[in-house]
Amino acid sequence: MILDRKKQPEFGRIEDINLQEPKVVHLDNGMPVLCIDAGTQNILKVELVFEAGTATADKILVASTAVKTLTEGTSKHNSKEIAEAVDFYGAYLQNEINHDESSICLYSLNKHLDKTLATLAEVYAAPVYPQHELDTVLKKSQQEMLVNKEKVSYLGAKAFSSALYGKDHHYGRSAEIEDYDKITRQDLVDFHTSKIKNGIKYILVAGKLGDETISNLNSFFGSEERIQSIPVAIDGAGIEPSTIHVTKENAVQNSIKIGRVMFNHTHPDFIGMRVLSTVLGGYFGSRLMTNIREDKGYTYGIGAGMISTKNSGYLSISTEVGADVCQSALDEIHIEIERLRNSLIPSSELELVKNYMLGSILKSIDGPFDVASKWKGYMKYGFGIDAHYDLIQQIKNITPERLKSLANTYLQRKDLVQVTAGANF
Amino acid sequence: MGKIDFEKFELNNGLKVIVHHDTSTPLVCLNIMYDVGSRDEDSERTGFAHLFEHLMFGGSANIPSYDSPLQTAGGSNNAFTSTDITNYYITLPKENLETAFWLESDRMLNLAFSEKSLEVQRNVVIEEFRQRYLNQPYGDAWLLMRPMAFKVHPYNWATIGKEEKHIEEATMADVRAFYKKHYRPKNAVMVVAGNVTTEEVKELSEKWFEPIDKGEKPERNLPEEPVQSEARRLEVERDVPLNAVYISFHMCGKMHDDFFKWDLISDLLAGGNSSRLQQKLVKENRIFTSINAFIMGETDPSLFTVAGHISPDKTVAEAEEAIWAELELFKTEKVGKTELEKVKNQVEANHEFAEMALLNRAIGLAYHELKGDANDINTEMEKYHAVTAKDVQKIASEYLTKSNSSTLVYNRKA
Repeated sequence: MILDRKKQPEFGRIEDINLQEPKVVHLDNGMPVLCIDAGTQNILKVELVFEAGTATADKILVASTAVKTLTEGTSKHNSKEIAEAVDFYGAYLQNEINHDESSICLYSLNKHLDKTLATLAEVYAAPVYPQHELDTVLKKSQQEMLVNKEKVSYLGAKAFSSALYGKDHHYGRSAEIEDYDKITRQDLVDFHTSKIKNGIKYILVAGKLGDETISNLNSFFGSEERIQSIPVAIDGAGIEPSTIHVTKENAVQNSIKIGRVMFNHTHPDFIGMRVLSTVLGGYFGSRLMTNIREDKGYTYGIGAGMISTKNSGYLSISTEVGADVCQSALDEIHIEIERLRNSLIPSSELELVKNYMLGSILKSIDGPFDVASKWKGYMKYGFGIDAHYDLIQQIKNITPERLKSLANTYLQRKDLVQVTAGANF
Repeated sequence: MGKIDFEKFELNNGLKVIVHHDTSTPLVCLNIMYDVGSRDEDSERTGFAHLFEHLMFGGSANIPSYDSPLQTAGGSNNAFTSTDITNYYITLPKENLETAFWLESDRMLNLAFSEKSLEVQRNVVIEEFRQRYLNQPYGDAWLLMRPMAFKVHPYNWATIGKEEKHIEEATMADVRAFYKKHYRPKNAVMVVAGNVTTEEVKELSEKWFEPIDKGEKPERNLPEEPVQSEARRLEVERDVPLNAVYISFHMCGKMHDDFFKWDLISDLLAGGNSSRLQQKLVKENRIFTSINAFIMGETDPSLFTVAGHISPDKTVAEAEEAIWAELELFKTEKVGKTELEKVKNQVEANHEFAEMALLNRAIGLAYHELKGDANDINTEMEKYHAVTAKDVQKIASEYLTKSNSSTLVYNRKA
């Protein structure tokens, strides 16, 4: 038999994607623990999730600093001793923060869990924020910001969020160098008490659970009475769209950010917009990549996507291009958006995008840590497994007509924010 | 420590195939590693291996578009080039594995180069050069350090190339010759990982890859870097927010038993918040705002580097002195038992974390097979455990010396 190399071998469409549901157990004090028991390696991830994102503190930088410096000293151990305790067992303590939530996360070999959990519990419950450690951290952050300020991508991102929400809005603001000097130890102590200690929503455990895992958690997190703070309400509406250029002399590349405030995952059009933004710039073969990278060679990469926060959401198109071709790249981006408004997406292209998206979802939940992250995202909106199945169904069923109508509703040029950072052009 | 099980076989044309069975995932990875990197380039035409990696996505003999059929089958892919190897991988739902065989075998069979695709990828790579190396503070560090540290070995240049000009000047003839020489079955290792059987993989490999011409395994005669005998130094003035210093030392290659000792030395110095440099130079003395120590993990003898950003109120001289004082400690005082145990625990845990990902296991197997034996991936841990405090002291005394050092200083433009 002669091999036909021109013809793609038969392949199956992804029909169902199973997402493992967490088993929920409650500790003695009622603390919910979501368990994803799976995986091949003898390791665990234990994450404490707080309703304590950057937008939950009125003073800028307080939330992120309070989370970042949890490990800088407790009533029992200093910063060095904490680092030693964690490193000795090959474990990691990592913090994460976004607008709405923050968390502290322990990665540990199962066999050392009783020791590593003790450190996690201590930094969560009893940080003292020593002034001298705080000074070091703030100074270091200031220096990092100076490094970032040299990057057009950073300048662009900063201008973009303030163009979306306004520079004083809790989602739109960003720190300046001098803001680091205004942080006091007391700010952090207060934030810790109200939003971290009392802001813990649940514990997420993923990996190969052992017989002792839950009882271990119970002994460290199950005894103190739970006091729950009240979530902060944030108005997620954006401001009037504008066009902004941030000058950075001598930049060889300019950063481009285009987008608009929209809505989050709870909105009925969100998944449709996710598909539409994927067609536009969400994968390697997307329209923007094909046009601006593969056809014109203006950039190393360009992307588009929907970002969902607890109280809002936005579309973001982002790239860095040669300063000399900045205007041409902007024109091409607008041409591609216009094309989405004016013509139907060919069915073969849409089919490809659907399969790509389903493949990506499959890939995004491969392994217990990924499954846990997926649930953390869903928990923010109180979603259950139905949200997952709905996502799959909506992707499978969406039509070119509906996407065109979404493009006309949401992607009018007058509604788009456009930010450039770099050389004048 | 979990052992990574695998089976291997070789096709008639010399392509080595490794199968790693993992039933816990609905996905499968197909990874092909070619034994070619930037060290195989002509010193006057650098950046070529990497430019070529881009061209591998420009369509092959029978398949005009590489990405679309893969994405239609729910798959994704990427590639990377280093000084030593070029690696391509696909991840896709297990049921669609054959699409990956079809795509990868066709581009090993023959590429369909076009002038247009070469032209565009030259531009894309130049933009990559600018984005990653020129438009970032300290982005050109390796473009400066490599030529200082290596006088004859091709690690003299970074994978991106020495300069934009080399990429601009790449011709169609260069590209074809490079492909013909390096992209042959005998010069590659393929790993298929996931819920697949060896029989399945064998059948697909024979069907799609065996008809490809064997070609020759290119000979590699790289010049050995002579022992460095005097301290080298380069100071540059740049538009950077903080002064910075990089000190590099020649060390052994990745296949040498001393490699594991070097790796632990880098962890002792800078692995985690409790490490020596972090505690003493960032937290206690605040001489640096950040500092790191790392090895490159290159196949031929390469570099061990300590690099840090200097606090605005400290001088470059103070910063250098502080690094040297820490290095001297290794020579004069034996590392304590607990400290050594700590870095070994860290290595062990890091292995477990990294090996969670199927793709990492696939890449690891391919790399070790290319360098000799895939099973070396399972014996690495023992080599780390065998390292003693005395070993560390010996390496430090022998190699962490002024005459073996190359120092790069970034002075902030006033």
